[in-house]
Amino acid sequence: MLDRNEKFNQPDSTGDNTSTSAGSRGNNASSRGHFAVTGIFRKIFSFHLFLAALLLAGAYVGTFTNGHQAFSPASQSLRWVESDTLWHITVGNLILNTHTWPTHDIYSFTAHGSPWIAYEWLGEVIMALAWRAGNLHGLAVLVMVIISVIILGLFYLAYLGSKNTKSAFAACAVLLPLSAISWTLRPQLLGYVFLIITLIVLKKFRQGHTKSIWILPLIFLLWTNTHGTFVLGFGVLGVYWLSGLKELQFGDIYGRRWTPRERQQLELIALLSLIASIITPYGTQLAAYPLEMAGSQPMIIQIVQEWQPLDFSASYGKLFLVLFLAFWILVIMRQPKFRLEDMVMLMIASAETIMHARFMVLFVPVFAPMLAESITPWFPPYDETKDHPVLNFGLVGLILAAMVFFFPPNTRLNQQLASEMPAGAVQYLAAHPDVGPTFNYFFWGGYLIQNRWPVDKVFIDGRLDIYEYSGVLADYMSIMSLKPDVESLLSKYHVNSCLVPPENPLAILLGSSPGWKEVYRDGTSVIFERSGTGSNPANASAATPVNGKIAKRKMLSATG
Amino acid sequence: MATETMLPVHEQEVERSVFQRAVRSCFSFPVLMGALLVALNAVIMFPTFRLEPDTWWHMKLGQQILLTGHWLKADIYSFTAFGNHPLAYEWLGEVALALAYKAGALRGLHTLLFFLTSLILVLTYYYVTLRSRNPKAALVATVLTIPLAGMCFTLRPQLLGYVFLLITLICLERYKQGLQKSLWILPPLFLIWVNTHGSFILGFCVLGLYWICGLVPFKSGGLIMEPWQPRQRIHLEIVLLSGCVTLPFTPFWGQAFIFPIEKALFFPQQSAHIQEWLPMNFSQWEPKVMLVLLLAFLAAQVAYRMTYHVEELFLVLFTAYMTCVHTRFVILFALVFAPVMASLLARWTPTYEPENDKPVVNAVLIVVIILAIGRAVPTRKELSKRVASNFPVEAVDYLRQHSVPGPMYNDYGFGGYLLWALGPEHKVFIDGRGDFYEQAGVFSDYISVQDVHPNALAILQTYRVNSCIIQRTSPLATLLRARSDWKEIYKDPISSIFVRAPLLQSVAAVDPFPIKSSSYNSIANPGGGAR
Repeated sequence: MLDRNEKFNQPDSTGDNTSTSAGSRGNNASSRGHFAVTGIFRKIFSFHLFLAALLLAGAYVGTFTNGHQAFSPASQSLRWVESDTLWHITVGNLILNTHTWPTHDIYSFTAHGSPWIAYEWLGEVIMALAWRAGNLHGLAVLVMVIISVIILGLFYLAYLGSKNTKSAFAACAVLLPLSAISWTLRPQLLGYVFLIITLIVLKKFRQGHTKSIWILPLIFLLWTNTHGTFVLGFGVLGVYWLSGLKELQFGDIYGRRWTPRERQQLELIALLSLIASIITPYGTQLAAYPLEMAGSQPMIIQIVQEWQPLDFSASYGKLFLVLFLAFWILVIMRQPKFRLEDMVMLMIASAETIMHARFMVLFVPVFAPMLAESITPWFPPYDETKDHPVLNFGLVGLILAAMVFFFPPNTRLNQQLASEMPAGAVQYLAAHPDVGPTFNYFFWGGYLIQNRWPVDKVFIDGRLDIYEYSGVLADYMSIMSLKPDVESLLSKYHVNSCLVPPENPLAILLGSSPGWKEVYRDGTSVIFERSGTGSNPANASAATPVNGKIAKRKMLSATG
Repeated sequence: MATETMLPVHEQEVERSVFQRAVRSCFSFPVLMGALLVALNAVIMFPTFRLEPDTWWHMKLGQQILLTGHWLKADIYSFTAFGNHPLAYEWLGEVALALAYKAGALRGLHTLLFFLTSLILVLTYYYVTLRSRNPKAALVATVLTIPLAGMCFTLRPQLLGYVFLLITLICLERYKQGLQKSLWILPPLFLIWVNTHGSFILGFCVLGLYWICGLVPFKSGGLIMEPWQPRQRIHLEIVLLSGCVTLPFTPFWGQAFIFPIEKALFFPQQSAHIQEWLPMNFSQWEPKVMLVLLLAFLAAQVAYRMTYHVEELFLVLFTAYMTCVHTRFVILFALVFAPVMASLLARWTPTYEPENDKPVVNAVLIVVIILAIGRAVPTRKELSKRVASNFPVEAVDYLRQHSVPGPMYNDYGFGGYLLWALGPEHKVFIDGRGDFYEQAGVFSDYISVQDVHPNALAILQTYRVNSCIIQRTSPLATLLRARSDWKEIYKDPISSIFVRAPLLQSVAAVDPFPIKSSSYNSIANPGGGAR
């Protein structure tokens, strides 16, 4: 935004100084070579790289640990794996195996045969490939790679705004916890990468680098096939284009008019990107899907957590507020100038994030460069002469080594997954194929698809679009909130058993209802079966999982 | 002689001039705008009757104070915290509610609610006019913030707290503008306030903020601090100290002063479960209004380079933060944001010119507005109907006519009404005195039961609960309905009553407990407004 002279990597002048210094000591080739190597070393292991490594370490902590207990194996969490992660992998595997793209539901018994498209198929294929390469370990590597790209992209984007790596680092560091709320392994994470690339390319284009923008049609081609967030990309493109149509000065907001050539180039790129967005296995259907979702899936937007308003009782919600309001205090005190496109995008991103937490993926990359710029006066520019490449090298090496050393192995990841998902119940279901159809807890749908499909089909999973269209989602919500018609709804779908967490109100209800008996229980899940139907509980003991137990009809002590 | 004959004429002219000025100011354009705000308030308040579950127990406590002439030393209304020491720290507000009910039953309550909310709007308008010096811009700003302030317009002692806060802000603003005397109203105001509602803490915070922000000169970009004159500062400090001196003058001495701080720090359950303490839900339309206003205000900083005093910017940003974290504070945001917005709007709004005013036209319009409001006042029957659509009125009638075995568990939202209608003979499980129940450990038990945690039935057993009155569609109702050891003996569109089956058989000979189900599916959202 502001013109400052610091360069992200070592400026040429640095090299010149080094050469001059070398030349004064001798002219032989070996000494020139020595100093060239030193120059490259200094360039690579600069303070900037150390800052980038620190951000990556922060990202690692945010992804694989519970934050305050960083690098403690006991605290490592699996929060980057969602139920959705697992059905995405199954769909990706199906595409890799059959070389066809699904067009209707085959995973559920409630919406079976309903039209459904794998609108994130490319992301799903990538996830399936990572799974094939190393199961959960493969997924862990994939998620860390994607997050690293996001963090480095964010850092560079913030630098482009401030031209000061220290302020860019500070801005990214404080925004890291906000960015981390989106770090679960889903195709959406790849969408985040594409969004940051688009913002970088457009910012550079604004700063006069006209070549990099030619990458956008390719980005949109991949993006449309990966996740619906490509719509945000078009939104950003549109804001940039509109903001350059007129020369504008409105208080501290200014807009610079595109040169005719710039404008033509931008319009051509937008057109090519539009064309690229319809090159999908489903034709224009993928491009239309996000708009369809916004208009015709009100229930998803109402009940799914990431679509709900930002939770200001959570620490990240409070952090968002503090940063946002502090930024405006700085604006009032400093009265800096803003580009029109930056201001428009900040307003849209803030409003959308407050109304739908999911849009944090837009807010963070839009806000980072502006925040970095506003705090730049507090950070002296980078002074190459004070840099210590050897120290940087040592510290970066230490950080990377720690990350590799503490990287969770497959066995631990599997244990963690088993403790969060109904692994024991799945074994029980495998031993009792006649128990179903089974009503299942929403968050376990993906796990059940991955482990029980095609033998057992789910009641519901993360593909909420088809469940909303078919009315299953509304029925699921009524059942889980114990509306008076719970029993009739379960009968409507011919549900014969229910798999829910033990502390869930539905479990308490079924445990109290004479029409149901508890046939399986462990610390994570409980299975109820209709009385007088299905499998014989006596046989069930054969499939008792490691830490589970086949429960007889157990009355809660509360019943007296 | 000539002068003697001239004097009376001159005095007459002076008198006429004083009278004309008084008439002109009584029927001026700003007064007409104030009347319009009251009319707008009537449009909002008359179709609904915004009583809360809390209104009822506040009234009951006020009534009890009026009857006995002293304050409760031990709880007599619940069986779960019976005998514990409740703190009627809002006793003056509760007495006001009880008096309003005594004067006119539901119409008395409705009149009090309408009066207080109208007073808040008119005072806000006056405060905004004072700050922006533009009555037209002030009107627009006040109207725009009504959806936000309106979220808190329910009949509780805190409405009086908002009135007192506005008076404090007005006094401080007048003081800043050179009207020294207005500040002396604050010590007596604090004396009343500390006995009415815990929001008096906000009054002290505002006073303290104004004082601090006038200690040293400061300027940075669009942010300024103007120092007080030494005399002004001393005056302000004396008022602040006098306000502090009034704090112990409550029936509970220092406890009433400490209580709001305690509540903020030591009652996490309430913050986590009571709706008004939850974060602002920006999927609703009123919060979206706040969002639009706030973002427009922030964008205006860049576009117009506004200048702010530190105290006013602090108040806007602090209340914005608090509102996002706790919905309850939205009215504070509305009050401090309206003047800032009016100052911005004043750039495009022509100023008020008294000489162009038309007092006669204004007077006619004010009379028309008053008459229209008078005609629109809802009848007793309408008010009763509205109460019955939100509270378990029919279930209470049923309980009066039948001997349902207790102790009876009840929904949090029903507690206040049960306490009012049947207490202290019928004791409640819980009511709106959430802090009191949280201290006693009852609140967390209530949450476990209501949300059907695994220990829900055990908790009912612990409290020896024999019957329950709960929302008809609540998860607990579905659970009890499914159990053979509980029997639903009554249901209406809002509530259900359950009794332990063995007890039902023992009293069935006396009372067969027929299921009463007159209009089972008549409303779409039964009990929606009860909590």
